[in-house]
Amino acid sequence: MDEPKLEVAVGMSRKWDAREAGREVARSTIEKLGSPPSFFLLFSTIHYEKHGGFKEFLNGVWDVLPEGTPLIGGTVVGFMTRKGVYSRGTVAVGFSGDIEVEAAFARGTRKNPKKVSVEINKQIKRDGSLILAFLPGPSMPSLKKGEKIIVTKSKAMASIAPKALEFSTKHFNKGVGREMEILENLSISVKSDIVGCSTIDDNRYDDNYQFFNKNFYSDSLVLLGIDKIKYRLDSIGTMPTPEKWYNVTKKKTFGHILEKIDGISALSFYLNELGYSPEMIFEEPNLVHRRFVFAPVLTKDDYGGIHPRCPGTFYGDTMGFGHPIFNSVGFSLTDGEFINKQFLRFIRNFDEKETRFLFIFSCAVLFEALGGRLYRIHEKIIKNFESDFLMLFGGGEIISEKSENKGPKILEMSLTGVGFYR
Amino acid sequence: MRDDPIAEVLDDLLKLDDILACMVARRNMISVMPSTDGFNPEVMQLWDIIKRAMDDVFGVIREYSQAGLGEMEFRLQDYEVLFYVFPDTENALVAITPALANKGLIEVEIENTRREILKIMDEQEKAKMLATA
Repeated sequence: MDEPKLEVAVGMSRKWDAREAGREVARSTIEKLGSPPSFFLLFSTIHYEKHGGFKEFLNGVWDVLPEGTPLIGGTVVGFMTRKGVYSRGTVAVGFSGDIEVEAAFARGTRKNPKKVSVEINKQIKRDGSLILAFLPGPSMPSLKKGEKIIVTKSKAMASIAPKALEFSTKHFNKGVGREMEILENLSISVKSDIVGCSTIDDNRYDDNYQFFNKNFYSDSLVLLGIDKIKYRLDSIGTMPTPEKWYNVTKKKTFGHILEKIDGISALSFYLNELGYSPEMIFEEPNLVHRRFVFAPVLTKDDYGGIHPRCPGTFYGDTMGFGHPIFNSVGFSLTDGEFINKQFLRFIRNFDEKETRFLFIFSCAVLFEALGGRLYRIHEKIIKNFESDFLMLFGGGEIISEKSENKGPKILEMSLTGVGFYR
Repeated sequence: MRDDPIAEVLDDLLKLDDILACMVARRNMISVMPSTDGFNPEVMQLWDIIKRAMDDVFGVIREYSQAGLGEMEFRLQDYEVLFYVFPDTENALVAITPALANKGLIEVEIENTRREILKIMDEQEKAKMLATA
């Protein structure tokens, strides 16, 4: 019996004009396929918002893409292909072959995550397929145009912020993504492996968008169930595993704001563990995201799964994160050398002769921290891996494996992905 | 300069919000400017002092470029000036950004610009050699 055929092609555009970029990314992808695409994955950086708008961008894609092709995707901070590393532009992946696909979408991820999972469950009919999923990552409310408070010593702010953030998330669609709540419900109801990422902008945490067919949204879970395809999932962290774990004794805002660890203020505990002084945070607030990506907090879920978290805000004695903290935390230190090694280790986990295409999800804060040095990683990857790949840098990496002992995960600073076999 | 492919590449870089100015330059000389009108006005107010500081940095680049000096940067008031040296030359791609910008993202695009300019320079060099052959 013949193996099902699978063709995968990656295309991109660096044009500034939204419509032209949409046309070019679609054309450069599907011209490499021998038959019309079974589905189309589309990603872009946030720049088209100001250079024509996402409606025009999608119009450009649909000027070229065959009518009826299932399309999902969203905005990311950057991406890496065999051709290079980019923090501006658009990239797409087309799959064609003997594949069966179901597309699903539901709105209101921040407002009502449970309802979103119920909606999706009604739309996905098959069990056992691989699900690719994209949904909103964190955005932050601004005080005045563009201004966001990342760091403040103010205890008043620390007291007000949790409730304000919770309110803003539920009622203004501005706040944390609540991805974990969606994933927890979805992984129970939908009996499939799930992989993907949260969408994000350019790390300003304004708005980020998801694409579904001809439309774009800021509050939606978009996903594809793919059947009759051979694949393998994998995920590794970019920091050592902690040796000691501590109890979370107080947290707020869907678990995103950590207030106390073992009864002690979270920030004091964290700084004491690392041997850092508060000045590193409060004297240089603009450097916190670049700096503290190398000193992540890790949190353990009920299944024993470890979820890294990069500190996002420091208000008074509290620490805020883009994704929730569970009931225990540990601390780690990482560096460029370790991170480099983990990138190569991840790639080598996939057999390049057997893997037709490798789809990798990593983290926007890692992209920010590594910056131009990503090109050194890129050189090593293309030397060590011959197959085609796409690495997206989003707002959080999603993985949920069907096997019963592993719960769903929303990760940061990881390398998480799926290899598609020939 | 119109119809200069390097100027067009610089035009693209200058479109990014956090790039206030960019050029290909060497000591005491700006070789290529973007073809669009002018740099960010807030940078122009400090241009004299920035230019003098740049020329001093180019002195260091001239000393060490043959030894493999690849990048330099300095911060002046609310700005960062980044130098990406073209190998075996005293020329560099220079970009001026706000000091508080998301540097990681900008670095990636500056590196892409540097690579495109190098490709153009290589092609121009080959064309010259063919013309004189």
